[in-house]
Amino acid sequence: MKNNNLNIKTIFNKSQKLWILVVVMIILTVLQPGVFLTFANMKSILLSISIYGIMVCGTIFPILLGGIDLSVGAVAAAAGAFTVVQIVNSGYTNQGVIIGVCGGLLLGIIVGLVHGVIVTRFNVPPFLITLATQNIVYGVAQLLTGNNVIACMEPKLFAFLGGERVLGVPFSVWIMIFMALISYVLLNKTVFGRSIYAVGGNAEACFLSGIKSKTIIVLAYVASGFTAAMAGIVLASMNRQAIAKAAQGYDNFVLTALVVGGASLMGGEGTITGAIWGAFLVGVISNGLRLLGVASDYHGIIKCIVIIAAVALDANIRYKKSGLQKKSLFFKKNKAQA
Amino acid sequence: MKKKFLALAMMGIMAVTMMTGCGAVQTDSQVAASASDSTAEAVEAAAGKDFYTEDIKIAFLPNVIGDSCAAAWADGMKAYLDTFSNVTFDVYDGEASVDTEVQIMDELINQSYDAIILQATDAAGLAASVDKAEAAGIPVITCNLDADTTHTALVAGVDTEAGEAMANSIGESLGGEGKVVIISATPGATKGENIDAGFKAVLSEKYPNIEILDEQSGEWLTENANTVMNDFLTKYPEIDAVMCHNDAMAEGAAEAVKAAGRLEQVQIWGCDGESKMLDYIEEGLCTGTIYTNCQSQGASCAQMAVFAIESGITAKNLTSTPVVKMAPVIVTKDNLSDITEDMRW
Amino acid sequence: MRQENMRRIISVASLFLMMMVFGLTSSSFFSMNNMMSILRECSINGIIAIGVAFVIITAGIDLSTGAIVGFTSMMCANLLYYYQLPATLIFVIAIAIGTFCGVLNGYVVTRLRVPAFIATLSTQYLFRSLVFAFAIREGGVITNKKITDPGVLIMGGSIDGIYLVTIAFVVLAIVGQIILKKTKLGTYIYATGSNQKSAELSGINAGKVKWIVFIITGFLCGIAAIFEIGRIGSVTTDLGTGLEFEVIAAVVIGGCAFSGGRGDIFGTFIGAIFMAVLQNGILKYNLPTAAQLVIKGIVIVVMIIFDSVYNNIMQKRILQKARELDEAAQAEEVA
Repeated sequence: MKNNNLNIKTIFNKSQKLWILVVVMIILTVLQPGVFLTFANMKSILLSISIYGIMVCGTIFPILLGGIDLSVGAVAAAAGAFTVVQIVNSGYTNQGVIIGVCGGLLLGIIVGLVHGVIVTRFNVPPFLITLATQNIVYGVAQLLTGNNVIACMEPKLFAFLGGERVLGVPFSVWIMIFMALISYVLLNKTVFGRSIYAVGGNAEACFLSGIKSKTIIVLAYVASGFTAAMAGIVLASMNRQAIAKAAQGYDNFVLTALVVGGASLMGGEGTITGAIWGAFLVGVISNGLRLLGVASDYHGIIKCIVIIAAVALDANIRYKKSGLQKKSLFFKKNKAQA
Repeated sequence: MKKKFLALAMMGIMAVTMMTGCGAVQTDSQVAASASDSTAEAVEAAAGKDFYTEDIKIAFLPNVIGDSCAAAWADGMKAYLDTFSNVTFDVYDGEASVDTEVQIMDELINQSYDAIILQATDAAGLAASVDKAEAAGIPVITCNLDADTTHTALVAGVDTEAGEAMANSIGESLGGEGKVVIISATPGATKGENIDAGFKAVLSEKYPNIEILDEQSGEWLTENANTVMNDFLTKYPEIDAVMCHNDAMAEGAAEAVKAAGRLEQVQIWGCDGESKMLDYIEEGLCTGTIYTNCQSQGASCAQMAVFAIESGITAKNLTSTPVVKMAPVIVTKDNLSDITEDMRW
Repeated sequence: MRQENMRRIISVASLFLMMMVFGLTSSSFFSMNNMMSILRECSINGIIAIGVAFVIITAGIDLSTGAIVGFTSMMCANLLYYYQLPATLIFVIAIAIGTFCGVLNGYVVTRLRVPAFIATLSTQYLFRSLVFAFAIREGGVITNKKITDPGVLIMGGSIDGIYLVTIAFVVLAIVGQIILKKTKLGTYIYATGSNQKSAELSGINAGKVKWIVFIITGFLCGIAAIFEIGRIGSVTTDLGTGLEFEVIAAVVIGGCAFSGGRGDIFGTFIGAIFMAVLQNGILKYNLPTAAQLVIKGIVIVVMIIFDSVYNNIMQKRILQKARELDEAAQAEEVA
């Protein structure tokens, strides 16, 4: 039932919440003519969501399985810290960058592996375990940075990751697009991807039909850790520094983007395109609020309204899909309809 | 129905407890005050401990661990206090949360530290804790971020003055006319509000022709400031200067301005004076910052603590908090060499 | 019910073990002051944990508790500053606001049929935003003002060393346990959590039960907010951030399972104390902050894994027993 071809009509029919995005963009174009709907501004928005976007590409895997990964911020901070420490220790050489980046990504993979094993072996709710490991991984980040900011202005190779523009578009955006493509291919064109949707939909049935669901689950968390690490390295490059408390609260944004984009936290539903749209929507709203000059205090409320609208629409659609009659929202329902 | 009953019962219990216990209930400060007033040891303690011979414990509780300021303060304190073998110096993490700081303050008071150096996450929020510590005979030295109550000392970094200094520099260099944007701190942060106040006061008084185009929060973070600056650059074709409430944000803004190729036209100012910012100024990415010697500030806090311990002075003896202000240093490319290697942090 | 007693014994034993470790290796752990401190620290989280335990037993979850506390506190601070309302009225308003937030949560979950995770995540966002809307401003800028009303501040105080908030926690925990174990509502809560479908088939209005537990949580958050502002004496815009996670950890460590139908308030009580003892004990060693975080994280992970393993073993035993009974019944039939 997963019709994932990129036909515009299909996308709009599937995700009515995309209408919200269109409406918001139209409103902003009208209010800020010549400023909002420009290439430069679109690039700005993509840049502002690029770190989250990279994370989303990997975290969608555990979400599709009905799980979750709250440790993405911590892993990002620790991976960034590891990479920068390596670079500094190697004397700012290119070899240092390569070793650092590989090491950072490995850190993400290891954390993901631990999560996957704990979730499958001990049946711990992923919400709980990834929440608890946040402490540990942030502690690792603190250990690595020695509780200080480690500046990393060179070598150029490292700064390129987050800072440089290729064809006018920031490299971090390219990385996001690249990761999104990989995720898309993995999810829609490989057996692995189909297994993910299958296990997410009904783990028991999968087990019976021979799909190695345990391996799938572990791989999903590894993917999430990997992208979180990559995002952290890009962030460190963008900021030209590693700090112990980087990426705090990023898990919230990633979750919001995924949910707004149509992923169900029960598993089995969600697309990478939806997730990127979700991240883009939040980015558009923040950008719009700033362009309109709305005071920073009030950003939260407006973002909140739009997100709730998107979630409510989603719930409404799910309602209709499941065939239940629309219940009256205020009056007691008839038992027969329940 | 059952719930209503429960709710009423709850309120009843609370009301009863309040009424009967009202006389016997004391707040923490009252308890601490009565405890320290009555005992003979308290009277002796008021005369001060001998810092150089007895075992001394000093704690440093910064707002958050992991940024260069906190590390520099801790370094400054450590460098000074480590020269005394009888002194134990411990650093804690306030995790940028009032709750956590209040909790740790309670812990420090229970562990009978001889002095506490505190960077208060929130002035009003930590007031009760500082009162309690002072009432228990523990002098509290606040570092940079003050608590809204009388206590032993405050070693203040610059905020209002920094804002004023930046306004003066920008105003001068722009010849009194131009457009400025501000990337501000997290809404509600005292330091940010003071910088803002100082900045705007000088601008409106001396440079009325300089227009503040916009102000948005970068929440102290580099990547956020990058995003905000991008949006400013998109919206305003003409920006002459951007004032950021801290260095991290100035660095983020610099990246954005550089990417947009407008470095020549835009002055970028930060506040703090961290080593990375000085590098940025050297490379021409940023224009200037207000430098505070944080190691020296840390050492000052430690020395104020020594003074307080030796003299036994606590809030009881004071009508208002004595303030020691750090001298702000305006650093631009021209006087970068004024900041020597050991002054960098 | 023997299984439940086993779990209780294990909870208390691990708490005891941890306290012994801290007590033997650090001198000031077992002092009166410290014990009272620990009880005070666990109380605010504990009060909220009672409600969250109810929610988790019904196989739901509430991520908005911290935001409700923040919102309620900010409203109180706001009203105190601008209108100088009397303390008792503020308390009533706080409870009312908290309860209303709980009603909203319940509405979104039961009537709008949004899964509890997303629903409470959204309401968390909503309440957080409202905090900013109602923050005290001076000259357009958010300022935090000290609360000076002694009637409010007294709530952070103590009688002969025992903090008011601890007394409230104990009283509410007892009431909560009674509700769970001795009333029909309690039975319905367990039933809804164990198997919602069969609960509904036996005539229980699962939706109403779920709504009620959210209201109870909101109510308790309101009470917690009163004590919070009493203790700290001012309200920042980020008050209560991250609270929901600590509360959930306490509830799970205390024996409630996410899958629902298991656990009680006694366990939650122990869980809350466990978290506070852990936090307090770690501070005793003056370790570098990184080490503190790592140790705290590892202990929590170990407890969580242990809880899951225990749960699995118990489930297997139940299934095995059911199978044995089945076989026995079949054998009898044949005979």
